[in-house]
Amino acid sequence: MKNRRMFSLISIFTKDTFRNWMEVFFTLLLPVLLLLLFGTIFGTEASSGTKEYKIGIVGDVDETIINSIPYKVVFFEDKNSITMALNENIINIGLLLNHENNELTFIQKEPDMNDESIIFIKLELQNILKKHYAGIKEDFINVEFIETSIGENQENPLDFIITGVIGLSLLSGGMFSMINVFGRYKKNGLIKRFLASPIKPFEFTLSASVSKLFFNFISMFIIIILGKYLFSLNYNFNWLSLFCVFISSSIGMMGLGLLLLLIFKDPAIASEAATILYVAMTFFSGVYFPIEFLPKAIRWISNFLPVKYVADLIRFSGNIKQMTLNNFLVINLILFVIGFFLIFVSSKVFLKEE
Amino acid sequence: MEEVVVKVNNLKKQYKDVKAVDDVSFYVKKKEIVAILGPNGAGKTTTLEILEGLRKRDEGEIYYFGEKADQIDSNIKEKIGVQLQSTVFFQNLTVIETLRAFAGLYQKSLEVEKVLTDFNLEEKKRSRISKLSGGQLQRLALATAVINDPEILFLDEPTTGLDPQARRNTWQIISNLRNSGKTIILTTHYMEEAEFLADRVYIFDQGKIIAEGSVSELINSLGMNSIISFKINSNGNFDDISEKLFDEIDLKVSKNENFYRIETVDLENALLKIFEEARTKKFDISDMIIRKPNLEDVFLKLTGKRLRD
Ligand SMILES: Nc1ncnc2c1ncn2[C@@H]1O[C@H](COP(=O)(O)OP(=O)(O)O)[C@@H](O)[C@H]1O
Ligand SMILES: [Mg+2]
Repeated sequence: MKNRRMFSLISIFTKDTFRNWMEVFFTLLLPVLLLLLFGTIFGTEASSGTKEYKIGIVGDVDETIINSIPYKVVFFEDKNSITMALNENIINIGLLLNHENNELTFIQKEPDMNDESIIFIKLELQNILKKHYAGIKEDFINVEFIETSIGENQENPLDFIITGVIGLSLLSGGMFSMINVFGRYKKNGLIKRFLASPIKPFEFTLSASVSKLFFNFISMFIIIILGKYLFSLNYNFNWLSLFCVFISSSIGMMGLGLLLLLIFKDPAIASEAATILYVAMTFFSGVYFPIEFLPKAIRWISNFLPVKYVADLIRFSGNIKQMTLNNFLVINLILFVIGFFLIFVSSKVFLKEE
Repeated sequence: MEEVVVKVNNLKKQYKDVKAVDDVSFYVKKKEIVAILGPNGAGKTTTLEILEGLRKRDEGEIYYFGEKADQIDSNIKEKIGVQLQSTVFFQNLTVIETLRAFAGLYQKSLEVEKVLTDFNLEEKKRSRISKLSGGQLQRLALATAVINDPEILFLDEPTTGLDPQARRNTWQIISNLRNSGKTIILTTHYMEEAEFLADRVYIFDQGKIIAEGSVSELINSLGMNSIISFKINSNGNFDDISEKLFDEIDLKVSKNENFYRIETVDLENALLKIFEEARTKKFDISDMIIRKPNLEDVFLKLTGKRLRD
């Protein structure tokens, strides 16, 4: 009998969600639109590599590595000579290999910092060299020194984008759905009518969460399928870990939505905060473009945005980004536990007798 | 003795410094329609929602079917039907989907198609909730309240906001429900509604029950048979005459600008006196209405206020 109640609730939540224009837009349509937009831009950019790029290298490199680099390679004596060559436009980017402390340093001109082609060359070089060296650092002359971890087989920036899109979809799906359920439905009295029935608060919460998870799941698969057919991506997903990430991220993001609601009380304000957060995450989290595109001054913000971690988890599942299994599990666990805790708290706070 | 299905003792509920429900006790017998009549803010909704398990009481006892209910648990909720003061449904669902969903929430439920017909929603069953009119929404709210075939129905202002035609229809539906054996507790601030539907009435004001009984008991308790109201157009003073009238026959006069309201058990004599005075003093009387007293008069007498301003 309990199952029947839950089934009934899940079914109406699901119907309502799929017919809710706003939710469909943010969770499904917007990510797909962004996917199409960025996918087209980067997809064509990557393939139209007609310009001949030259790479300067200081240090010993295996013949096999050199052969796998699809650019012209010029060797230099030291950092000074490579910098001069860079300034005279003899090469487009420089690379210092330090075998002693296992360090890789990129040298590029400041104006090139935001040059997409240069960034992708770097990513490509990282991929190739990654197999041989660990602990790679980047160095932008005159500008900065940042560490970027890199992945295993990022041959196509679209991989990067699509995993980000999935991250954003899980994020908005989780965040907005809970603001809707516990904010709007609470405020307009819809929840009250259900609480007058034999439904128990946790059954209500569980039904809401399950139907929203289902919706997120469908969205994720539509994005994956679109990626496959529109951009002919060959996924290398570990489906089990993807499922893990899906569950923990969705629940974590539901928690984030509920947190906003607990902070702002008014669902309209919480919803606005969520929208701002969503937009911020789109730009700051390195989902649609590498974080290097952004000025350094604001780059640090990404560390505080959960979507960065979610995207990283998805990239790990997609074999695009390296991460220790331990880290992977810990981040999953943190997202899950925090999300679950906030959902639990919410069904106490929002569904109690007044 | 008939079976008491709901009993409430010394119920209290306070919000900050507002005593929303202030020591209220009442009972409802099986197959009765009991009306809780009172102006806005009297504590009707708070009382009902405590009984429905939606709000916490501060103090007091509630008995359902003779058993003390410390919590309004799911066993009780299976047996009650609830129409909230304003019921909100999922806007993107259709009427039939909504009703089916509610049917699914209870162990026992009526046949959805039958209920749709009973509540005149058959034609609208495939419409989205967002497309319904106020009357249709109200009927759907009633339909979801009865879908579990409850023994007790709580209806919170079931006709507020409806046009007179729709209100009449709803009254008919509620009467039919009573005839089918339901016990009904409804709140209203329309005295006509209580008069038309209720077997017994509890009059609420400022969180307290200020009177109770059947409609006729309450009206008879006023000790008056008729109410005369009229307007005096010239600037004369009727007041000293009314003093004199008081002594001669049993009547009560109240005045608002030049509108007079006279309550009496002796209609013929009162009318005679009024017209005599008018003729001798050359008062110009107009807009005279003679009527039976109603629950509004009961409320007015008890509180000095009208039910609705
Ligand atoms: N949630 C609440 N918070 C604060 N005050 C409330 C709340 N609910 C009701 N009240 C107050 O309690 C009193 C009774 O309200 P209510 O039960 O809604 O009256 P009615 O239904 O008779 O109009 C009113 O003064 C109202 O302002
Ligand atoms: Mg009310």
